[in-house]
Amino acid sequence: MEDTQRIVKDFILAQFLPGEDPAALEPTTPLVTSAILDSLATMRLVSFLEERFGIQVEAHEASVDNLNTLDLITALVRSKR
Amino acid sequence: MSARQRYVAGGLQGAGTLAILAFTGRLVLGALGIAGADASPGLYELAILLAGIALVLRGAALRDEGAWASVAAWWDAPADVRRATVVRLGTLGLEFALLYLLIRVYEIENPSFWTLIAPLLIGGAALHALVPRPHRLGYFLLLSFTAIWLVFGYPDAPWLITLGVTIVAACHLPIPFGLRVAVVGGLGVALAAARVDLLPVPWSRAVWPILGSMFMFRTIVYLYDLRNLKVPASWTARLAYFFLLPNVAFPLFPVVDFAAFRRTYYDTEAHRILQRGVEWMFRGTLQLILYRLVYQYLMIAQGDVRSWSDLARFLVANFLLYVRVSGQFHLIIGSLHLFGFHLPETHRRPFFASSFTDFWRRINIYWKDFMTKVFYYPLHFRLKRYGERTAMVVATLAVFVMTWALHSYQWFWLLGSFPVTATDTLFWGTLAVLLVFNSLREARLGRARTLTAKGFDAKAFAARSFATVGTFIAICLLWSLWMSPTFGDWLALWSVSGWAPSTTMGGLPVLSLGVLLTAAVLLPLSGSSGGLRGAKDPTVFTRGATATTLLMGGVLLLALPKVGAVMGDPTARVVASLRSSQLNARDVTQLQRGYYEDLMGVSRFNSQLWEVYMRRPPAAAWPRLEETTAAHLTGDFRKVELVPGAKINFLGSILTVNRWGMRDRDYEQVRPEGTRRYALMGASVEMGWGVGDGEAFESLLETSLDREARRAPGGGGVEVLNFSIGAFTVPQQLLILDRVLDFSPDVVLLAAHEIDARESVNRILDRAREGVAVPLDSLASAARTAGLGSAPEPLVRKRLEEHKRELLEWMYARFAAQVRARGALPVWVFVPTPDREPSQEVPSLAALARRAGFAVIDLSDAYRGVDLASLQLTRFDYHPNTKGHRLIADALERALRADPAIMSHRAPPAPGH
Repeated sequence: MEDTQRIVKDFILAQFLPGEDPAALEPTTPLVTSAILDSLATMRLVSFLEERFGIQVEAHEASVDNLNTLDLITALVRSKR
Repeated sequence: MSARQRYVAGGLQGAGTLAILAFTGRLVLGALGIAGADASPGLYELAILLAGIALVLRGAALRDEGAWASVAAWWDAPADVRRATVVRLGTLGLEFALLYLLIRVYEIENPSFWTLIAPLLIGGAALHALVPRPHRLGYFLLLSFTAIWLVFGYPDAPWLITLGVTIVAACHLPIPFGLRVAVVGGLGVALAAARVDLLPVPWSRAVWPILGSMFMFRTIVYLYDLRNLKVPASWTARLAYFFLLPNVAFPLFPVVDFAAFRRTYYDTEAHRILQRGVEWMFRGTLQLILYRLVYQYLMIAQGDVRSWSDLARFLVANFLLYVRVSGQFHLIIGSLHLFGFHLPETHRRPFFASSFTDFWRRINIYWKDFMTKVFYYPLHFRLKRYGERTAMVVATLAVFVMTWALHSYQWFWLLGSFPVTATDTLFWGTLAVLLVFNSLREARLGRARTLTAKGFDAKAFAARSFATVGTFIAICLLWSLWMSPTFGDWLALWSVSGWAPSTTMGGLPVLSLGVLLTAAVLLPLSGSSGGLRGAKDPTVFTRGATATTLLMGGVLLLALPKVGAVMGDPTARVVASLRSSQLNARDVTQLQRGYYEDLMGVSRFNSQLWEVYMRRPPAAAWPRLEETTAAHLTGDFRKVELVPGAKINFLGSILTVNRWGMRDRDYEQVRPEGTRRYALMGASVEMGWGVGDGEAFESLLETSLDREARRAPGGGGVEVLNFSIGAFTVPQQLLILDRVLDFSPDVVLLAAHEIDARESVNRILDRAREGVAVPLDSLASAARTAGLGSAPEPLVRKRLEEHKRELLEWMYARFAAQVRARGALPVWVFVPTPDREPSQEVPSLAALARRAGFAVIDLSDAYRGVDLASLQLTRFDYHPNTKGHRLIADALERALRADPAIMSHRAPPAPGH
């Protein structure tokens, strides 16, 4: 689980928060409700998750319920694997 | 459980039961017609019932040992913890009270909101806090049904609830999901047929906008979520979602997401949610006051756009009017916070967007989320096999097609028609293309995001400022296109030259108030903009509550008459004008308006609902003059005249028409020997609209002048003949002037209002639309030159509006010359109306009248020092009441006595007498 979270965190930091202090992105930091993940970024993240972890995410799962924090994203990936 | 605990629980239940019984008893008495009780319960009776239910529920909960354990835990907590709780409760109570006062004093939105829904929201939230947590959602639903009852009453309220429950029930029929969607769609089609009167229905037309607002989008979101729900929602949650309490007062409502509605319900400490709610409601109220400032002082009519500076002002003001949508949405979502719904913000400073994608993310965020969830993601997921870029472009374009279509769909439910116009299509099409290009650029270059505060970077700040200004200008241009009824209207806007502004913006007081209000709106208070800051900071509540309380107190102080006296004119006048609750009724027909203005201007799209909101009697009880037997249509340019000898009860007062067709007592046509005679020519105010015979200022003036004149040795009497007719404008006065002069007046008083020039243009266009020729050579010639009969009406209007002051001056000059030719003295009298303070245009109108040959009397100060609302006939009819007429009569008499030239002027008797 920690490994999954680290991979996702690295991706988000590299793609959407370049130059940001990694410590500032905590497992419960809101991503969707704070506009870090907009619709474009969400689709890029979903493509990454599908490709990197070999899972398939449904359209209705691309929501704040599943993607708002690193903890939630990790839980979604785990539930799909 | 101790005996004392049992007593407390029993006491609460007993008190609650008594309240419920008192309500029931009152209801029964009303139904039996005993003791004059009304069978239909009002706010106070329902408040007793609601309080009773809250007490019974709390008492029942206290019969459980667990409930006392939490009370004991609090009691055993350290003193500072207990003190903090008490301070928090006290602060919130104070904020609730201030918020209600603010809404009431500034008459926010409509009377139904500030007299019924706002007290229900704020008082209901206090009672709701008393209710045990498991029952709160049900209690919220009860409050929502109460709100519907209070606004609509019987039979519309039961119908609205029944229709709603039927739609929700249809979403849960025990049949396959696809079939359920079809059934709900079928219901929608049947209701749409009834909406356009293809099917008869037993409820009034006032119900449609609210029914539409509650179900048109939420049903779509609900069905989408229903399919993907992991945990089924209770029936209480389902119904509470659709019948959201404030919806009954706001037809234009944010598309609240069902998943967010459930997910955010008490998702953090209650006091934080309540504090954010108060802050958002306050921010919404400020924005609605700011809207009034923009509307009353910045907005100009399209016809007044003559120079480039006018055009810039028009474009900016048109876009800024959107602050009303943001204000209403803040008020709505803030009020839902008071019941535990910790919903996200609806707008994030849209006027500060730095790109088109940024604009889309900041403005109406609920709409963007709705579109993303229901259309963008499903389509993008389907298309992503064709490549990321293709999927993004196609899904974005599809979202805009749906946005365009659904805005028309919304218009249909609220207004009853489909406004598919070229400007609408062009607006959404252009915005879609710009957004796609912006998205592609962002996908390539990325977008600046941050989790932590960065130091000030001058270069980045300059670049962002530049982008913000550019985006603002571009959106202003696009917005003006969307707001224009036709492409021709929009093009007509651009036929301007020069830089001189045509009308005043109210000067420094308006600018200062605008800056102060904007600063207050933008103030982060407790950092409640939905960002990352402050979520765990214990001082956030204290800071937010202190700032909000102080600001609310400050805005309330501004409205105090004593503070107004200290501020002095014109600041006090500007502040007083911001306390007006609605659009100026005259301006409604003048100003260029667009999509949102139309949807929020209930008075324009649904007169029945407006009557409900204004708590106004039905149209039949408040008719227009031409709908009564005291007036009839003439078929010519005058349009209407009074029927000689008519006597009716008009708006609750007796209106008598004499044998000459004047709303006045009887007179001989020949002026009696030794009698001094005035003729008054005006419109509805002067006619004495809504006041009884002998109560209009003309009658009061006559009585007073006559009494004084007869006291003088050898003094004859004084007569004031009232030739005023409702809705008459200067061209119509010119048409009846000869007949007036046949009564040999010494002085002819022409009552003037600020809108005379524009109303004259309106009358020409209105009558031309009805096929009536324009009378008076010069007027007809001006109309022909403007293209009347050959050019499109918007262009003709613009051309006539450009020359309206010259037309007015010509009419005044003709009027004065005609009066003087008969030896009488023409006197121009500015008569203020109690709906607003006289504008700074009055002195220039007076100068114009003086040039045209009138003696001038300006009664702008007639109401000085008196609350204007106390002078209005009713809260929905701005004509002066008897008190207003008394003030006008006194001011006019003083002005006449102060001018010997008027008082001593005598006209020769009519030839042959």
